[in-house]
Amino acid sequence: MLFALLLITGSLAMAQTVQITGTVTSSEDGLALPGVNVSAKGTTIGALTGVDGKYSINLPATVKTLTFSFIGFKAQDVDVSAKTKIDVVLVSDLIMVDEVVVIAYGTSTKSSFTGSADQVKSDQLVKIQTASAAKALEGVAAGVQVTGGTGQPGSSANIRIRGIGSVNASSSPLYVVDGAPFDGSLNSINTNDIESISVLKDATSSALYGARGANGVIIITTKKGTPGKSTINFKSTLGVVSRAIPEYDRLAPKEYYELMWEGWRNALVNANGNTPAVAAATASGNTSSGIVSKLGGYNSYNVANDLLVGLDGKLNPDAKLLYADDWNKNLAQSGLRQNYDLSLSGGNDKGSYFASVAYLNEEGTVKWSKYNRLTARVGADSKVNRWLKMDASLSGSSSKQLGFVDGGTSTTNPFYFGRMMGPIYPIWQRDVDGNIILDGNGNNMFDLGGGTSIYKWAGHTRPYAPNSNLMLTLPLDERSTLLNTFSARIGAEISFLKDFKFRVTGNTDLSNYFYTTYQNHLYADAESVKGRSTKEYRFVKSYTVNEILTWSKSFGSHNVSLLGGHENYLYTWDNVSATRTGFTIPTTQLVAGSVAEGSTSYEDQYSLEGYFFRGDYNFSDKYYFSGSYRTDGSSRFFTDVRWGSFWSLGGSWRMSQESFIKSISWINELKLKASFGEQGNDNINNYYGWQSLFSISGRNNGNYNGAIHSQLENKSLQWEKNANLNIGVEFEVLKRITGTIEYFVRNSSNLLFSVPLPQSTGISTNWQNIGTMGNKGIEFTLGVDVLKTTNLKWNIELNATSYKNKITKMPVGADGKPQEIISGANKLSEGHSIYDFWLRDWAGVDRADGSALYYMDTKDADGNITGKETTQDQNAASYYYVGTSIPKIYGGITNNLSYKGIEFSALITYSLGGKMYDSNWASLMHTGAFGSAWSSDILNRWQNPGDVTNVPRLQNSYTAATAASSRYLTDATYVSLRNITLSYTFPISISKALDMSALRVFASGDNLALFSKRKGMDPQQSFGGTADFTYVPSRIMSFGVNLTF
Amino acid sequence: MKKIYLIFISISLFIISGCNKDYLEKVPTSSLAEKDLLATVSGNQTLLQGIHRSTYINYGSNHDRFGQKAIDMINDLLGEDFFTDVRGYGWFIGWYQYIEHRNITSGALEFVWAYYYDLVDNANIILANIDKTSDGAVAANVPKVQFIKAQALTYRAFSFYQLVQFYSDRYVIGGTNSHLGIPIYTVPTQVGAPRSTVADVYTQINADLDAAIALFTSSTATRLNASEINLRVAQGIKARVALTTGQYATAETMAVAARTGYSLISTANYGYGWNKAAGNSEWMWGAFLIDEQQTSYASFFSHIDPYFGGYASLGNHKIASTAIFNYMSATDERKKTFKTIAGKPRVGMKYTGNGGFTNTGSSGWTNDYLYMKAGEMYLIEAEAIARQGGRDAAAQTALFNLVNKRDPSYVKSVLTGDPLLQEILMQRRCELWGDGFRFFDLKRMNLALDRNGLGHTSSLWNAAGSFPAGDKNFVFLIPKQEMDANPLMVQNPL
Repeated sequence: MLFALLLITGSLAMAQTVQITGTVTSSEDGLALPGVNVSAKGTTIGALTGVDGKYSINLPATVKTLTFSFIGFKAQDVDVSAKTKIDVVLVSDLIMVDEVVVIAYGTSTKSSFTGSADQVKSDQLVKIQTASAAKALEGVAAGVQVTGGTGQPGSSANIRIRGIGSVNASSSPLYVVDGAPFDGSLNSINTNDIESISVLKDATSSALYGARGANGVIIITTKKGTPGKSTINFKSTLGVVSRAIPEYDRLAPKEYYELMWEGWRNALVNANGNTPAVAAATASGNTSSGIVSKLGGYNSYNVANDLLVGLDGKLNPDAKLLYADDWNKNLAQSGLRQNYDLSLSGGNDKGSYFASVAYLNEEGTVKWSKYNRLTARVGADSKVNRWLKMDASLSGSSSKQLGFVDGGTSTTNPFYFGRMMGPIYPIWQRDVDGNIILDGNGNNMFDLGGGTSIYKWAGHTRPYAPNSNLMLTLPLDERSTLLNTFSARIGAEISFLKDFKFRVTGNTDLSNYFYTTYQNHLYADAESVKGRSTKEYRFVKSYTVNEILTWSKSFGSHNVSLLGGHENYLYTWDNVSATRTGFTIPTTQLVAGSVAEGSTSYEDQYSLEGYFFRGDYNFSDKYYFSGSYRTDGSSRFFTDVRWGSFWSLGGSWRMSQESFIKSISWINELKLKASFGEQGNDNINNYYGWQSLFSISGRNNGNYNGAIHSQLENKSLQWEKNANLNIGVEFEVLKRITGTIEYFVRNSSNLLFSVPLPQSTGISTNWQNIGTMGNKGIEFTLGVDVLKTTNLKWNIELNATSYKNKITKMPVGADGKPQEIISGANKLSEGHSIYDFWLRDWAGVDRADGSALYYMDTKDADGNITGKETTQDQNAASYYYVGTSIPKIYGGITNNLSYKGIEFSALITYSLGGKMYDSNWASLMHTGAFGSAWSSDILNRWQNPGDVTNVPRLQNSYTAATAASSRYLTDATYVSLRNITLSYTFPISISKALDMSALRVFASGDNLALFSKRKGMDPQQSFGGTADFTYVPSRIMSFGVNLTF
Repeated sequence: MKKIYLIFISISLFIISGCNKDYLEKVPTSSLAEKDLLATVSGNQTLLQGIHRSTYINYGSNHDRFGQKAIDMINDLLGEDFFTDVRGYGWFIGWYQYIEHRNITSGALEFVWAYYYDLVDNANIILANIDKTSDGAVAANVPKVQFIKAQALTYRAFSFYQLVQFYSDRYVIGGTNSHLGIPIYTVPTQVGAPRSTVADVYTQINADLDAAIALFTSSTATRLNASEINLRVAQGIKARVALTTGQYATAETMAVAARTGYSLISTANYGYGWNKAAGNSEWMWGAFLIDEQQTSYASFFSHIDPYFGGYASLGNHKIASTAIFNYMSATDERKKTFKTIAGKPRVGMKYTGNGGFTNTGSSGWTNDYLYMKAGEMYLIEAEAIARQGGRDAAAQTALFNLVNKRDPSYVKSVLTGDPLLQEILMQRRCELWGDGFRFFDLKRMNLALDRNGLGHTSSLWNAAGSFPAGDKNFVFLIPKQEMDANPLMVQNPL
């Protein structure tokens, strides 16, 4: 950075020159314009205006004209003859700011770009309070779907661009940071350091990334210094984190006891053949078959066990509730979020610099989960001399995430544990009056619900999650991730032979992960082994080296540029982990003397080499053509089929440059564009997918080395191909309405498929290139400047995407017909989408006996389907296509309103149509599993013959009623108030008085409201419409101050 | 300007020379390539060790899938003598309730199927490659090759034997057994086979076992430890198969041959428990777990040990039926392994010892798994003799030789004919509690399941209190994965 600072002060005085000075201001508000480029026409002499808009330039006498240019303003030529002071007023370029669009291996301008890309700028990104830029893309870029953003502090999200590209290979886009594919963790990048994010969606924009561009590319460009301005920016944000989605409505103790009694009574009748009277007496009684005993001996009322629920199934009206501990409430907290960001930037015409440090500390909505992160970044670029430019940036981060298992049905997952815990189970042991029992030291005695520790409550064994109490164990356990990252981007550019440029870059991303999983030695899971600690260390590194040669030239109205390059990429993943148990001292460390439970290490490598070419041509800024070709070799495939070819062609016609359109005054810009090309995808979750392998990991028999067959060979395994067509129109009318409409078709063929093989052949899947899948859709964006007065501005931006996904070709099976592959709740078959649910079809409840009914095909003697009937046997039920998780339309609406210094923005995201398999709700709709919580919807259960309801009878262990079926499919439509930001920028008079160039305060709210079909459901969990017990997303209310010097 | 060219050219040269040919050749470090592993005898030996290990690893993250002992536990839970009275965390309950094997989408059902076919696949790979090894013909290696081959054949036979008993209707002694068995694979393949008949499956099993026994007999190699299969184990499996198929003379011969060299554990030491092979002279075949290979919660001892902190200690105790508990006399050491724990009678401590397994603080999870013991061979011998008829005295003696070691007060039976057979079978139930035979025995003898009056908590068994002999519930359904991926597969009656 120092050298960059030195460069600024350097200036050359030459003989026989004239010094010209002056001030450049804006025509719009009359304010000084810093950073305006002042250049002497026909020479390389130039200067920039300072913060005050002033410049000074020494010109040889030969110079006749000075050019003043600045982005967003019309350039102006001024005759210098016999002047020493020239003040210039620049007029803003209202027609269209020709935005720079970051594309593969370079930049383009919006007007000349033939492809499809959305660019999200810094000011939008920083509105969302998140550690990961992925979450900030939701709703603001057309065609982009974001899911999986949980509330775990420091977590990231998943992105799909224009549909689903692959079945078993990755459908995630390629991330590129400052010119090189990025393998680090997205949440190691401070969103405040990001200048822009480009989302490349079609072939011409992403085909140059060849083998890895099939699912679109997300290019993150970090901030650079701005010539002329030396700026220090400090931003401080404080926020409060709370739960964005409420818990599902669940039964309270009274109804819980009553319905548990009912389910148990019914089981005694229907499964055990008791008479209703005997069953009721048994269920009400105080034997080991009584309901209180079945619930583990827990009675939270002040009456005897056999007086709790009467023979009529009603709770004793005289019973008084002694306690009802709310596990979720006790596990929850209001988290504090702090974010401090300091940056320094500046530069001159010889170079620029940018440096930043930032600190983020976020607490989760569940106790003992938090995240902190320190990031730093330094970047500088310099024009070393006439032919050499160099640039370098280094960035690093260090973060620590403390959390817990936040998915799946492990009882250490508080979102499973808390949600499914019956309402009658206490956190603390109680005396007969319901008071918490204290230990000798006056501390509350926990209830572990079983086990053998000091917190075993005599006579109480919780049937749900015995021997666990997260209020006790979460603070003692540790599940942490330390992540240190380092990224470097270094480039050199040589200009030669007038029109040639040669650029070499070297890039590396290093990530060190250090995981600790510690289960305490006192209570619960690892009590018997006196604690278990696992340490895992992972070192991920990648190198990318690029050499790019470009040539560009203009011949009159013909503008040509050509690019050729080469890229090498090497990715290495090293992993080592070890586990020990048996700690006699409280430690999470793997100390000597404890028992070695296992240790392992491995290394994976992946390499790629590519050669690429691109040509761009335009004729008088009206007709644009571009074409590209790339060939890549991947280590993932066998040598004979390793190299793939990828290409694109695109063209656009700026009709508004034609005279017949120019004459139409209300059309400011009109552009037609089309592109087509083919990209690849090799991203299967396996670096050696073609090889026949025998695993040696965890396969020793005692001390003898062992191996086991783990993968089948497929030497012909190769790239998945993605053909991508884009046709679009861009327009601006009435100087206030801009928009684009794009139609896209993405066809993935040679799908990298993990094909199921009969389990009886040993290995049950094999990687094959089979099948074709397509996405067709329309994207629409519209920006309207509703109000555009000097003081009051109101802008609305809306985007909407609709696509259909369809599998068009499946491999032909032995029977000559296209195969159908069933995976989970989906079936892949021709004519259906990848996310079409394939389930039993719920036919409601039998009025006569309350049994669950499913549809079943009826067949004639030849096996032909003749119709449908209902069955109570879930195994006999037929499977049907019962909907899809893919929404009909999704997108976002942004409102920006400003009045003088006040700015208000609101982002609404929405997704309409599509279904979700709400397995969380399904878990809460069991038929009477002792100890598990119940959804309030269970109150609608069938009770008597003739009852018309959609909830079957309660009956403990009645599994036919809870089989996976369309019953649990729920409309996934949602509208989310994703963000509101209100800010006030103090007038310059005030900030000047405080010696600042700007002073801004702001308040914002994230995830303020979610409107969806079912309370408690998070419709944004996954693309496939599946649910899990994940960390509930957070609502963040924050305020902050932004100081600029 | 010339300088620029020099820089440009030198950089270009650097790039071109930078990439060598191997740049795109990558191999894993946690796996071996087929050509590297199977080319040598020792490589095949490594694969065989992997098969042994497969019998006791944890499959996936489910705590009820830990290889052979999980399936043994299923086998007993499907019967009437071995059960639990609480749901606990729910592991295995679906088996006890006869729900799991009747649910085609059950992952646990698929585990049983996949587990055995995985053993078959690996055994087939050994059998297809061992004769092609570069060093297999070396004189010193010939006995090793025979020994490896014999083990692979035995594993294949054992797997088919277990599968056909679970997934097909019972073998009818004296019948044609032309009903659907299971697919047979004798070479590695990716193509699903149709179901062979039950008769054909047993033909294959016997062919494999006979070939294995011949190879073991001619080989001079010895096993590394009792986790490997040897001649005695192969003979023991042959004895089991012969008993199932009614070849009682063979069963008798093989059972006697199999136990040769093994003596029953002394009466005094019986209460030591069936968790450590070392020092137990009766232990024929098993797995010897070391600390880093035990699977903690997902292990046999997690589900059976009432004291050490697994599921059993959380109340999911494994209890003996009153039928066998009451049958054993007070002086029977086996009876002493059933204790009242926390007010609950007849909790089994057979595996951890009747004194209760005392945790030494370091090896609580690290216990050995029993797959075959000499005591079982005496029972096969006694039953096979009794069923052949006419040699009741010999059957009485065979039974006495075993039971007398368990119960010093046991008096040699004077029963004959069917009453003798019934005594042998009751002793079999007592002796093999928890070892994984009861479901197979019910099917083998075409018995009904009747859990009534045996001390069960009837509310927990759902609808599985009793089934008549030959009921469709005794047949496992073919997992959905197989039905979907193998067009030739035929489902059992739903």
